[in-house]
Amino acid sequence: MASPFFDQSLETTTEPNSVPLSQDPEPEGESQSSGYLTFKKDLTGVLGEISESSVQILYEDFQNAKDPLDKATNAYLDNPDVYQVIDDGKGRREKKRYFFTSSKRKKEDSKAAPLTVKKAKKEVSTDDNRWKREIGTIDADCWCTRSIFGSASLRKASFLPMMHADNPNVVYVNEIIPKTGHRREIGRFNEDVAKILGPLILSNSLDVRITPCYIPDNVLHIGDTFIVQVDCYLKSSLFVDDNSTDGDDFLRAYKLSNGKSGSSDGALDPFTVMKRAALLDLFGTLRLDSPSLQREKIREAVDLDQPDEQLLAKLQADSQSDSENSSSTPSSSSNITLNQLRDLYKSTQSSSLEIQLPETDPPDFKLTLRPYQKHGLSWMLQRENEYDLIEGGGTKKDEEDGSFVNPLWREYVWPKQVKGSSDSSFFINLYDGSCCSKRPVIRSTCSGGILADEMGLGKTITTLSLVFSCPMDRSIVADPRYASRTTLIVVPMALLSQWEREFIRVSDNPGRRCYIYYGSDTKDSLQFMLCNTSAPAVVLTTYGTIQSEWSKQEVTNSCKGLYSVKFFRIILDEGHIIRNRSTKTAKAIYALKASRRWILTGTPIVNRLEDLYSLIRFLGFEPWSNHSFWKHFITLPFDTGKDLALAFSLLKSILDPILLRRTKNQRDHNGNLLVELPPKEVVIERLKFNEKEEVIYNWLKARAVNTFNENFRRGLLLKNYSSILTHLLRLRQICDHIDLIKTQDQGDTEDVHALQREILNGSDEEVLTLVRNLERKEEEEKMSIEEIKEIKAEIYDLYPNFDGIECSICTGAIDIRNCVITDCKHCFCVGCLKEHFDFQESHQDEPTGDPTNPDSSLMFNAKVLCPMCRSVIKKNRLFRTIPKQFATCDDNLLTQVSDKKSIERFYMVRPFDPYGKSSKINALFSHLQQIREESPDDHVIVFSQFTSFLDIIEKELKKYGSDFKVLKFDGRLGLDQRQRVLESFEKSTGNDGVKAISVLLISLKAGGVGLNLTVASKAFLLDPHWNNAVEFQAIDRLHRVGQTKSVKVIRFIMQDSIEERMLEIQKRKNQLGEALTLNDDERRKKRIEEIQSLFKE
Amino acid sequence: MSLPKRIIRETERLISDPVPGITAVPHSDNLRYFDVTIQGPESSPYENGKFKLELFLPDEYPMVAPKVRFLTKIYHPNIDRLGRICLDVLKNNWSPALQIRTILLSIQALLSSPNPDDPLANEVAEEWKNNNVHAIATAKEWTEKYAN
Repeated sequence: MASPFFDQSLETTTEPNSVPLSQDPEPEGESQSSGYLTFKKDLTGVLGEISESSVQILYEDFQNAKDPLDKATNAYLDNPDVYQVIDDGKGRREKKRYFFTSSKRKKEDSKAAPLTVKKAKKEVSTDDNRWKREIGTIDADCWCTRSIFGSASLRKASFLPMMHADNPNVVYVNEIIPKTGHRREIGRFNEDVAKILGPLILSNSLDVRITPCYIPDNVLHIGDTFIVQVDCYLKSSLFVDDNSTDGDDFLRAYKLSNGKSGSSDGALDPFTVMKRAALLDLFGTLRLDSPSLQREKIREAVDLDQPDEQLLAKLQADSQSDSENSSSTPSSSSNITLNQLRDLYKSTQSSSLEIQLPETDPPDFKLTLRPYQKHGLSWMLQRENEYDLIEGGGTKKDEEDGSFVNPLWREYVWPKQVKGSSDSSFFINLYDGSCCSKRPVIRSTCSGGILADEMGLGKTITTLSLVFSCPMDRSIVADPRYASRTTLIVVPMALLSQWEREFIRVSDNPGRRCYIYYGSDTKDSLQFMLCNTSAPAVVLTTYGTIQSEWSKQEVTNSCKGLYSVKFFRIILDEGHIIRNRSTKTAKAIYALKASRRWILTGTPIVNRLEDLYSLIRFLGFEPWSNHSFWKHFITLPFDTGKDLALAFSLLKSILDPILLRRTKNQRDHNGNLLVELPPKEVVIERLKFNEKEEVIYNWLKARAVNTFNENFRRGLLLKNYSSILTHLLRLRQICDHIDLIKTQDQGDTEDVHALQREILNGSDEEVLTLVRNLERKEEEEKMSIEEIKEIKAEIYDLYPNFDGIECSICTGAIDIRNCVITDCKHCFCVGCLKEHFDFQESHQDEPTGDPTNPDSSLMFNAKVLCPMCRSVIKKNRLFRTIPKQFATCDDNLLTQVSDKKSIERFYMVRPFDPYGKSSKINALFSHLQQIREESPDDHVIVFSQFTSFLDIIEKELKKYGSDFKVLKFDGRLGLDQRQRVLESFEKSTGNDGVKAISVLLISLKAGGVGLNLTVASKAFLLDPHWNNAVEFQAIDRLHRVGQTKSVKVIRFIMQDSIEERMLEIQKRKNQLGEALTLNDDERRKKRIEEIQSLFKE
Repeated sequence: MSLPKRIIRETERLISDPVPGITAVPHSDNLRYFDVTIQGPESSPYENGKFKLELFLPDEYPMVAPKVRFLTKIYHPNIDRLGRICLDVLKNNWSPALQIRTILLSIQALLSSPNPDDPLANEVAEEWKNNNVHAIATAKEWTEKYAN
């Protein structure tokens, strides 16, 4: 910084753009015009561009003075109200002149005027209707840059600022030499002040008046300090006076600033940045009041209070649930921390609470909406500007008209109030530094928004109520390609039929139709069908359909099907599906045309703020739908942590108008919960392996531990990741059913691709051999056919019926569907005897065999005595009774016992197969039996991640005939089948009209989201998922609006197995709060750590 | 934990169909805890005595035996000073088919026929074997002293 200082210091400089003055102007004796022109030229040389009117007035008043230029300059600067005139015609000029003369010559007229003039230094004259306004005074230190003798004389001199030719941060102080009007540099502002003044003066944003304040006597040497007083005036050029910044203006300004720097990443050119910083520094130095800054401080203080733990946990669940599904978004950029997310949700939530909207009842609607749903409808109508449809004639209010103070602007209070002016404050754009005197508001330009009510609050119903309230565009549009009567609803495939059913359920107007556009061949006729008066009110389609149509269209470049029309309204269900803007699905969705756009999602922000961007992009919510804009204001600050508060309040202001989120825990203004759900009980039931399972499990576990340790030792864990996952999969399969390891069923593994077929098929011959050996051994220990026949005959003899016979363990009556008979012919309930076996086995000190050795005789060797007669009983020597009507032909083959009473006898016995079913199936069945006893027409849902496990259960349950109505819902079902299954499940009777327990077997993946299964109140989760949010989502299928009974959920966990470790991992995840998305590699490492914890003893 | 149906059924039966000479009443605040009295069997040294016992059903009941203890001081080779009882069906020979009723009957029977060969109170057992008359006299004395 030293060089410019000396470069300039020893020379007398003149303003670079000023014309050097050779002589004093001599207006006398010359023609008016030439004198005027010279005067004007000189004057503009000193004062810069000033308005023609000002020059005229100054010329008229001072042309005859001794030093016209000097006087005119002083007068111009001293009496800006008089001389700094804006060009707007003669009248103004005349008035000003009159005013001036009156104040000067006629005392009687000057009551208020001179005072006002002094105070209100507002009106300034330039050519383009400009003004300036005082904002304060700085005392600034300056360095003397030339030696001045008799410096005291400077105390009365006029000073002007003077910019360095190249460096905006260097400002000189020039003296105007009274005689000649020449300028002479005398000093330079200290850097701190120069940095503020320089850019502002250079950009013509600031006017300063410099008056000497302290100047030492006698001699000023180079480097000496003198002090000047700088009065600062903001110039009108800084102000963009547009009282609202709607998206378009915003974007234009943004593009403009972008254009300057030539970059597209949203960076401003350096000078604008400098100018903005200078302005903010100036306001800081002047201590201007800013109400918004004060609010900010208060808010920060308030925010320090305790976090809401419950919400935190909730959010974790939310974000986790999706982070699992979204493994395709590995970019680690713009992750947001949980706290930020929490704050955001909190604020969007609270703001929605503040909205006091009337409740609107939709027409043609069969259902009665809940109050908050009615609020939601009003809000949605308001977002669509359908004010007359809102109940109570919702009137368009300015402040609620979606206009929100633009948080990009900060308010400052003018330090001096001007009479007759209502502006008490002004606003500065924190982005480009421009100012504005009117409150800048963002007028949201999109019709639509995001309905982000928490899962289970009835987004579907609220949305349908909107469709029924406002089914068509009522403005007259004569576009043959405008489907003005149709709302397109895009849903995940699994929810298609559910939407249709909901539509039919709520519709009270047969004229309103719902058309499913899915896999059909109406692509060409769609336009014809939709663009007429009998168009269906709703077209339902899936993301997949749209994406495939879009892909085709990209190829053929023609507009067919959904792309051939513009819809009245588009609604995206589970809208977070498009959260990744680079996916085909997202692009396909963006390409759809519609007047109004809505997004329904329970999790608007999954884990990155970019997720939100995609939604806003779809909504077309300008200016934020411009990605670089979004990135600059939202993503980057959250990434870098810089300007976070601003970005946060900005984000809030973006979301406030367009997002409505209510949660179940929220309370209405009466303090009642929005949704009173019946209580929910989730119980973990720990089950024990039977011996066979245990042997196989231990063998597999030993093998897995070996493989793991081997790979760990050699550092090949990541490389052999997939084989380790396969081992884990095997263990999990055993926990469900031994037969699963014979299948290819991988369950809902998120690492599907990591599991290679070869590994699945190949090395498991070993374990299959083990299983076969065990089964052979089991076979060997079975009773012979003769033995079976003999005992059967004795049993039939002993028990013509079971009247009055009780199980000695539970002392209850024997139920033949549930009875087992020992070979000493004593009867027990299956469950009771099993408990006895389990207890005895676990309390006898067995010699523990080598788990890796399949031949070790760990199995079948516990000595258990009959509770009645104390003779030894064995599991493979038991008999099961079966009601005759359920007996299959197997029961009669070979071991049929012929006796006279067989016709009267109503039961049969068959050998009991202790390991035929898995421990989990046994447990499930005993629960189902109990449910059947208590409420024989109940609905039960059974979740598993393994569809082949569900297949096995289905087969087993069907053996019970009409007691259970078994239905299965998994990814293999087509659309029609899904719908049929769900419909059938809702009926409470079996196929033949007899009361039956309806059991719906659902694969966790296919049925975990979206479905509404409130008809059931009991559910079983057969196997744990790595992420328990997935399980909770599944539970929420039952526990949601519409559920009337208390919900009971039982989670089966095999004791001392991988499943228990999985529970621990779930727990740990919840504690840590895994809101972060990791990329593939990081995720694997993380999993390796988890796996390590699985194998540690 | 809710009370198993079996316990409820047993309790109901103990009250509706009591065993002669035996009472068993559950505590109202803990239905697994019973106050028991047993009449000393006729023609035994404990005749006319009324012995108090406590009986507790553990969580695993009926897979495991109830816990029973004499509260009244008794002179008996199979019952120690703390009231603990040495009886096979309370230990290894327990079977879930046994019930509170049967266990109490077994205890009553034990009073009729002490088994000094499998003692719990060694001194009493010695006395019983070596000086049977004196032992029975002591038992009667204690019964009169403590079990009235």
